[in-house]
Amino acid sequence: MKKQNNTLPEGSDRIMQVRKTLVLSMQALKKEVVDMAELTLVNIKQAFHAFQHASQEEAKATLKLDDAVDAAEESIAKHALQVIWREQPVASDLRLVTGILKMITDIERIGDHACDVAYMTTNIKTKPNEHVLLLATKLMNNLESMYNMTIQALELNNEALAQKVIEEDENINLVYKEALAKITDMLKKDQIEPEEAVYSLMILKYLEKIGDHATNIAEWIIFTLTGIHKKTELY
Amino acid sequence: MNQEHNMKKPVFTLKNIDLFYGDFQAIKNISMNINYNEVTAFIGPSGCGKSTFIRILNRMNDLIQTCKVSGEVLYEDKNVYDKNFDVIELRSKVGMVFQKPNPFPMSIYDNIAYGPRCQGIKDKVVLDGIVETALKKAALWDEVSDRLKKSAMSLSGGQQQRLCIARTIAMEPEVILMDEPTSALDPIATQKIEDLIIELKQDFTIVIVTHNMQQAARISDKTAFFLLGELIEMDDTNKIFNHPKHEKTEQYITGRFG
Repeated sequence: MKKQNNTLPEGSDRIMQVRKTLVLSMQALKKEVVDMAELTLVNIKQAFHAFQHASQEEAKATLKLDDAVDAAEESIAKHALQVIWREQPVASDLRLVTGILKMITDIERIGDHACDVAYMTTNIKTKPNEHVLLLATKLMNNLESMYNMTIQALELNNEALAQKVIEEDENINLVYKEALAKITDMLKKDQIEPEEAVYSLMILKYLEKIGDHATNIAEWIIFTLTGIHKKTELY
Repeated sequence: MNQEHNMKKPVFTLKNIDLFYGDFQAIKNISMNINYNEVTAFIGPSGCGKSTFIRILNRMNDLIQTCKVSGEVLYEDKNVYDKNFDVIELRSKVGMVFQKPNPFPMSIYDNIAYGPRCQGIKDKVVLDGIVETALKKAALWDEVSDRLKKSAMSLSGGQQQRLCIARTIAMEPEVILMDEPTSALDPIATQKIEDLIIELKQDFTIVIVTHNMQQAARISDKTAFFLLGELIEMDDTNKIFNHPKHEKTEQYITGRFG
């Protein structure tokens, strides 16, 4: 039989794929996680768009999207458990299944925070203050790029990209701090309504928290590739 | 035996082992250590050389005429392939349990007492003690103590295999080699043997060939992965099954080839 893959051992003509179910299950599981993450990215973008344009309707519509995220989390957890009891994965497969079980908790929380942004938006009656909007948009752009990188790192098994996500969180934190300082200053100078300041700050905080969850996901992606979570070998 | 002293020290040191069956090279330049009081598992696809390799340890391959072994096999620092090495002594120190239980067609008692009798022990009290101790160590005493004179052939497959382990233990070996000892057993009998192996490593060094990778993961301290006569990787079992260093090991244990 012709070798299908140049990484397979040389000199063996008995080589064949023997655990197709496991391979296919792992591929399907990973795709489900990528889909779930992409779904939450859509929700974040829609929630932020609603905030930018003070669109109560769009904000309310975003709130309804979270059910799909919760359902995806449950479906993935169920499939991951199935893979464990049916296939008893080891090594990279085991790391991916366990990593996925951790990742989906963070992705689900990201979905919740997208809802939080949408919910806060329903409380803001007017278009956001332009200074706040400028900083929030900066934060959102960084976040979108960071979360896209996270999804890509997962999809492509790219450790370097996951590492970049972790580093990127620092920039998110800096923009958040900048926004916090700006809003505090505006409050002191009566340049913003206290109510709007509070809601805006909360929205910014939710976006910043999404960055933290993306960082957690990136750390679990690195674990699936190396067996090391942060600095600890988990075996 | 001073367990503390021997911990992590090799009972076997193998250096550059080649083995040929005629012109066919079945083992290719393998070196490894087997440590005291550890369970070492050999895994790999059929025909990879793991059973051939385990038989090097007690010179079972001597029985095959076309078989030639080169390299150094040190058992407690003595080369077992040295011309002056006592093979009988080696096999009393390195016992073996096979895939299929092979009790002698005699009573349970006589199966255990057979080896010690061959060594010249005739005293019944001494033999009784050896039989009881061996059966207890093999976790079989409670099941057979009231029928020691019954034929060993009347035992179930799992009990027969534990009897074979007891028969090996009666010779007070240092090392027990097990070549797929549970492949002919049902899951409950397999579980009992696995529990037994974990118990036995307190007193013995165990080397086991297994096709059941979960079994290797459950019971062994070290795992060696063989492929096409080569030792691809040997490491702590924990590392082999979580994060093997070699891509071929990863591919084999995750079922990407077999």
